[in-house]
Amino acid sequence: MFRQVAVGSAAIIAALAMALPAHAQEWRPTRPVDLIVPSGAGGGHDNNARLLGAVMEKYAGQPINIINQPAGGGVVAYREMRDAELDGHTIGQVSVSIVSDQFRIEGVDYNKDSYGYIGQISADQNVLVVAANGPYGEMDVNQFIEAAKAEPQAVAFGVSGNWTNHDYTRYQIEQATGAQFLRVPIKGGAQIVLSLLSGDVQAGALYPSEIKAQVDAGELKPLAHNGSEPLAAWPDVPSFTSLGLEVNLAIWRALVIPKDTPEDIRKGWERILEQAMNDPALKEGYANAGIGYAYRNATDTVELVNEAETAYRTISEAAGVRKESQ
Amino acid sequence: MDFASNIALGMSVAITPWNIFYCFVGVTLGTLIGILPGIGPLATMAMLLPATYALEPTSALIMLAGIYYGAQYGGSTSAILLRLPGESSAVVATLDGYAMAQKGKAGVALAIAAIGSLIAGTLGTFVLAAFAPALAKLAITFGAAEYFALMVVGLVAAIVLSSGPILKSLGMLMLGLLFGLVGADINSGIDRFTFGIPELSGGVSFVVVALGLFGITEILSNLEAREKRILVSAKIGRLMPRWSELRQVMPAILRGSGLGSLLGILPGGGVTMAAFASYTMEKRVAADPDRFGKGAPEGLAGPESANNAAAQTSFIPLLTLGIPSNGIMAMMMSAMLIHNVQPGPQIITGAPTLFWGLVASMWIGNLILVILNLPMIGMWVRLLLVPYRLLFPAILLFCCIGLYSVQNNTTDIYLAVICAAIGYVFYKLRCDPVPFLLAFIIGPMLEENFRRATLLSRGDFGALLTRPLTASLLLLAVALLVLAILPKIRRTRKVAFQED
Repeated sequence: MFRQVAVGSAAIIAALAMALPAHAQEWRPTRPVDLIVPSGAGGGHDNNARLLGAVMEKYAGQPINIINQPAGGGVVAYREMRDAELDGHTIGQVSVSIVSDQFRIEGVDYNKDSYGYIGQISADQNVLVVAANGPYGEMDVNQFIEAAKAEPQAVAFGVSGNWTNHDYTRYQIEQATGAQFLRVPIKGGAQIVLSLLSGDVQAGALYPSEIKAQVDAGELKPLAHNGSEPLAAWPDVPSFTSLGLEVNLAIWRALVIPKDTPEDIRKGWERILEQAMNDPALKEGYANAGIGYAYRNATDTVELVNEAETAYRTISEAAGVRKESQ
Repeated sequence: MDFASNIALGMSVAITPWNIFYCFVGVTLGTLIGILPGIGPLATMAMLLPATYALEPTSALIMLAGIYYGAQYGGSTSAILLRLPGESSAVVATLDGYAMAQKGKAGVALAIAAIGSLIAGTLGTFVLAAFAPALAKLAITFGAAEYFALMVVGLVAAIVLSSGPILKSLGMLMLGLLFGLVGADINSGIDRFTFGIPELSGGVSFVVVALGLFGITEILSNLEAREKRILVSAKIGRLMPRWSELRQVMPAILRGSGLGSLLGILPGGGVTMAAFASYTMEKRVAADPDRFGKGAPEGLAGPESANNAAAQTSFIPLLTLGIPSNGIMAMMMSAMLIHNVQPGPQIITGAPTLFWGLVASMWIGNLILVILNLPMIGMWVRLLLVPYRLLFPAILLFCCIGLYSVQNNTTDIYLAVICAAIGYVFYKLRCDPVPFLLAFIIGPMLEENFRRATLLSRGDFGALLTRPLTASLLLLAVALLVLAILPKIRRTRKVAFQED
């Protein structure tokens, strides 16, 4: 019985395929796929890839293996994605780093033009936070900025290394408001949270997933964020844009393939990604993991990437980022 | 009540079938390598570190911890039966344990060691569960300056408590610090000592150093020695000790547990130290110290309990401060980092299932070990017959697979080979690589905290000395170093470590 149905539907599909040649040529992977992730296991990048990979398998019809390549802060992974085979069986997950790295890391030989784009898969905001029981715990964002302006360098601002995403946000806040912070490099968001709690630093610009536990426990207070949409976890927290401040370099992640991959393969992946991004299971997984849901098709993603490159170029040149790291 | 609910939470995590399975795998492997002389827990954990990549963080830590205290049990088994300490902390067990076996009481000796270890393990776990949350609450108020001072104390303690001449330890420590400098500088983002190799800008991977220095080097050094086949000559005999025998050793077990718990918490402390200290103490409190070395059950029960209690409590500095106190804890820390779990005061509140699950699993693991070790002792002893020519190639193969899998990168394999060559030189020069390993993992944190502390004090070094806790910790570090160099202490230290 089952067999007959299967044979029957195969026949129908075959007939349809002849009638609609465009669909007949829809490309799909024919063997297991490698998805390269420029970070180690655990953490935002990896969680994102694992959630997405599991859902995409359904539509790709092949297993998707997550390949973690944290070496060189992602530089090795980004090169590998660029130089992969053109048969569509190696795809990569990138972040805004593919446009910002060239402005901040010596010897980076990739940029936005090194890749073909499948689509945007997520977005995360930086949230300006202060310790709830610290000197600024009672203030709103305007009062905090006034206090910071009144005493330059008095507010120690934790960033995860100079000219990381946290630090670009710090720079944008300074430029937009005229405040001056003491920049304190601290390895990783979790450690910045600890430094906020111990009172070593007074402010930071962290991702929602990094601060969720402490904000919920009332230990940290979110003041404002740099996204364009309200925060899923704290919809009352204002965006800098709504306050008339140009602090808007939120991060995004996207899927890419090597630039010269044949167009039908790229389109095949775009279709698979679109189906996966519309799957309720994925949205639920993102919400549980604290990953900001955001999807754009390939054309819109290219636009996003171009805008980001212009923004990072302008800011990096104005701030003298390259000069500082030489 | 809080305490009870925390333990209940831990039990609910630890008693899932998978976690029991990984706990079982861990303690079985630990017993195995504890029995086999030559391969220590440090090397085994280094080899298994990459393999835990695919596991849940909690399961991975449960398994690795199981290897650690499993090795304590296994080490005593071969020490008692063969006078071969499978593991450095079991050296003391060769004294009275082997003497008991010679008198035909091998079974009783094994049982006393196991019962003492179980009681000590239980007590140690309770100390961990009771004190860690309080210490973590305190640690959350520590700033960069306090952490810097704590790390200095940790490193100095690593020198003072390591075996061999102070100068050698100091040298190893400095080399470790230098190795830790490789990679992008956190403050400026500029690469240091990477020779233009992008794979190095994240620093030399801990797995690479640990596998090279401990795993591969251990195999190399074993290859030099002619393989000896040892057969158990002593009859194992009756297993269950008599009531009178138990009554005789119980005070020693409790003293050893207390002393071990205390020594385990101290920076630089660890199981070997605890075992030696307990033996000295038992000898001192005994009415007739002459029996020691000739099969005194207290001389076995005390140290065996002490090393197991210390094995449990040495987790406290790592889980509450994020500072590893010995090589094994450095390995555990790296396992946590691989899984993106940041060891430190926030673990207990931020990841309660991981923390309490790990704590509860230690107690379960100790129980499994008693069951595993007593009735099945004959099987373990037979394992000594597996020829190394089969064992070593298999281990090397797994090392390579593991090295590749962490970053999906061949560079790490080449780097590990270089580290193995360096490790072999250390071995030939009789330099203990543990201070190197500790400095390698603590060094970057030390630098980061020092630079942050001075940045926050706006460049004023004096600020380090005006904070009371920082000042007293730094003073303690200086005092420790001075004491260690004093001639009298130097002699005592030489005696304490002569068995190593």
